[in-house]
Amino acid sequence: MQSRAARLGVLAAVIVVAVVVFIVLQSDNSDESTDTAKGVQVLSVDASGNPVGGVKTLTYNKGDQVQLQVNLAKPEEEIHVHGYDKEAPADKSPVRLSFTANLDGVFEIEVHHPDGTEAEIAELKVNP
Amino acid sequence: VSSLGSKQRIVGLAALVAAGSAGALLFPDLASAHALVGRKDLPVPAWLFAWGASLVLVISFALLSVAWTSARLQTEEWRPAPVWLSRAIVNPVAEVLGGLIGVGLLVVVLYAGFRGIEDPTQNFSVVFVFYTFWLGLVVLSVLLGDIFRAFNPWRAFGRLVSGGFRLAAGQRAPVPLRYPDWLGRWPAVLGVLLFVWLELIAGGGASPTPHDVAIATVIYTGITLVCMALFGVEEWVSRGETFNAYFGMFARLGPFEVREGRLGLRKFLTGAPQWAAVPGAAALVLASIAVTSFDGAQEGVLSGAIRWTFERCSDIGFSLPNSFRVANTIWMLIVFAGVYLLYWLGVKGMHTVRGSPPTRDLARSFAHTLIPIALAYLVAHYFSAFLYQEQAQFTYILSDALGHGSDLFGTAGGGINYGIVSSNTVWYVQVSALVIGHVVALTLAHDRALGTYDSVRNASRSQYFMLAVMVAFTCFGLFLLSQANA
Repeated sequence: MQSRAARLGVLAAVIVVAVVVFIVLQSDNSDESTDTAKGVQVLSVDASGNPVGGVKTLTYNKGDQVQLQVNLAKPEEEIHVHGYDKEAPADKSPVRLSFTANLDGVFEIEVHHPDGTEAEIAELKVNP
Repeated sequence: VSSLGSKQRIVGLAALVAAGSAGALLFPDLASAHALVGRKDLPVPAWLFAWGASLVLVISFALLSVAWTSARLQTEEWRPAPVWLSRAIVNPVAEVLGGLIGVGLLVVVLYAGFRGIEDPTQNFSVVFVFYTFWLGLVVLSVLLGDIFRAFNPWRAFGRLVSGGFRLAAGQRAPVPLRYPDWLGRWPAVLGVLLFVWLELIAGGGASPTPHDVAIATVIYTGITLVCMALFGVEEWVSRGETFNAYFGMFARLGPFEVREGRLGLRKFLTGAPQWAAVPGAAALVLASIAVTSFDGAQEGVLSGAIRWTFERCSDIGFSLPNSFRVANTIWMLIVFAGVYLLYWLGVKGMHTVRGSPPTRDLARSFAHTLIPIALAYLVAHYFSAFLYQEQAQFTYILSDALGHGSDLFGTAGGGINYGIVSSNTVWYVQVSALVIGHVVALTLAHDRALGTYDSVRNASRSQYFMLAVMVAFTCFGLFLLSQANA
């Protein structure tokens, strides 16, 4: 049983099984129906500089158009989208940002306060 | 007096409630601020997680059925490389140069930390220490051998001082203490835990500042110099010094090693089995696995538990940064204890097999089999962040180490291209790293068992337990990636 041919046979069989499992599981991938954000997404920042209702996750598919409107309770320094490095001055409310989600991954959207501190107001999630 | 007491109590209670609600309110920006990296990995999708986990199981049993029946990796056949090659790489000029580079980089870390910009993403000290040094040297150690030894700034400084002493006094510097054998790699275990504590926890919810990094470097330098004076330079460096022990551990997987000034080669993986025969060896590799797991779980699997602990801490009156520190420290230690327990259970299981050595010896002698898993965890968790941060390291941070606007090499205008890898590539690298690490770990364990037990049958039996431990580690790693990897 422990002959060289038998062992190689087992190994080959394992590789075949693995490849088949991979193909089957990967084709399953198509029904990924996560709800993606559409239209203008409104975020609000309160007077202490924190997001109203906590940090929301905004999900998009790669290539979608991201449209944000940030309502501020007081003037701030800027709104910053990490990774994309989109910055918009935030001296007047509302702040509007629009860009194409051409990079997949998870990114923080932050408000930069005038005192140099910052707070995350939303998480941008872009599926490939 | 009693009315004053009750008043104080009410005020105290009100303060607690206020602190608690403020904590709940402010926690989001505390929790998220530590990431240096602008693009975080998407969680590994469920189908890939399932595929990776089933592949791990299938491969594990396939390996057991086709594996060899006599130990093949237990003897390290180190052969010296040709003299000219060895001389070209290991020579006095190279040693002085390596020491100078090491000391130079240490000075830049300190100078940038104390004098440079406070923004950690723009400062040499933070990016260099936590990415280029801590992660880059792991990769280089596996590929090229124990190269940190050649660049170790503390060793270089120690050798310079002891050399000077010998010239001046005409005799070797006295060594007051003998390094106790029981201490083994325990100082390095503590060092690894504290290093990662500095990276993930010390900032109290934010990244450690360049100033924090410089202070920590000064403290570590002081401790290392004192220990080298007490135990001897080479003795402390090769046994107690954290980074040498840590990088040296990964170097054992690779083929290159310098012995008594001679470069040589060995078969891949045969360097690992000899590594573990020291107290604290298992703890060192388990600490590495634990801190990487903790980093992966901090904002994913464990975020709820850490948040709960954080709120309890701020309820009892800790400031918000301190609550963050206490909560995260507790959970980092719990993860370490959990990882240790898992390994210990595997060892206890092996111990039930006839002809087993005592548990303590068993634990020590299988410790090296986890090095590939520690490496796989590092690759899986930091691969993308490392790619991004090295772009920063070799563009704007190279030319403008302090962040003050200089442009030393003309690369200050560069930046990080986050589009360098797709999420799909990141996922495949992560899952392949874990699966390959798993296979190598099993191979090492199987071979060690053949060298430990008198019959193939008992060796195979003992490996059911190690197999369970490693499947658990690998699937836990996959699970962490499928949740979130921040």
